[in-house]
Amino acid sequence: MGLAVFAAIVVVSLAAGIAVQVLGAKKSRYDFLIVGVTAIFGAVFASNNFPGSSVFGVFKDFGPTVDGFYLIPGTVFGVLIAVVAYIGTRDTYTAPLTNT
Amino acid sequence: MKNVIVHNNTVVADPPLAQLLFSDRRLAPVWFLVRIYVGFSWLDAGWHKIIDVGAKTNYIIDGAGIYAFWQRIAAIPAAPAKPMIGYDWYRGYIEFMIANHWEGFFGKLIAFGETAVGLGLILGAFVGIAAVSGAFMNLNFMLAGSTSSNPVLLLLGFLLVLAWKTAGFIGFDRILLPVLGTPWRGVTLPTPAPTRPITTPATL
Repeated sequence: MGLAVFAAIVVVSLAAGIAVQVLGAKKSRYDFLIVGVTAIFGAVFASNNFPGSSVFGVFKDFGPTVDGFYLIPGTVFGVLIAVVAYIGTRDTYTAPLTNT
Repeated sequence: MKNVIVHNNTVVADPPLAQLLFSDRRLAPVWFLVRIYVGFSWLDAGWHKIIDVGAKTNYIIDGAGIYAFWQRIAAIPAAPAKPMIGYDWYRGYIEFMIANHWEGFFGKLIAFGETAVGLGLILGAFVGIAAVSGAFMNLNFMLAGSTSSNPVLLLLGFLLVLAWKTAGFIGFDRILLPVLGTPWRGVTLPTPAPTRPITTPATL
């Protein structure tokens, strides 16, 4: 995977994280970090490990690549674990910030 | 009156850094990523063994794959080459399993065990038990002379064991541990039963 593609993944993931932080129903100081970092990890991890693994051996074609980055598994898994991490932690960081 | 023995200060508190790393659920996202990495490594290795139906490489049908592996690691090469196993007691253990043809059982145990560890870590179900099981298998593979990714997985497995309370917070442990009696919000003490005055013959 080239440096330009990795930089693009970082930018897109952090932008998605900031969007979640701004638009999300429950806001905290860390939403952008959780969503951004998990999306980066998921995209890079899936692109590097899913093609050729025995777990996904039934898939013969993993779709188009951009400079070594598999778009479909990278995007799908990045979004998936970012959503899971956001849902799993959205109550964790907001509680101390509420003024009740 | 019933005597109650109270032990004061018997629990040694963790230092703040250890509490933050291993007991604070704010770091659950970090452990979530570690779980994905370690879990997928186990799942890939285990599933590869399950679907392998080669006559000399399978782990599930008759364990021929692990039998060949045992024979290879237990062999003592001619000097100056060194054997793969560094401990004689472990070589004796492997030779005992070869002699008694335990490959059928252990082939299935390893293949399904690795897959179960991988699924447990990825889904966040019983993370502590899954991590201990995975670390134990890493230890055995390293004792057998196989390095590969085992040292890294062993280290990450140890860290997941230390963080077992919060590592599965983004996962099924969020539900499973409270059900099993390990609540995330502390212990709720039962309400004491109302006391009743003791009736004695003198008060009648």
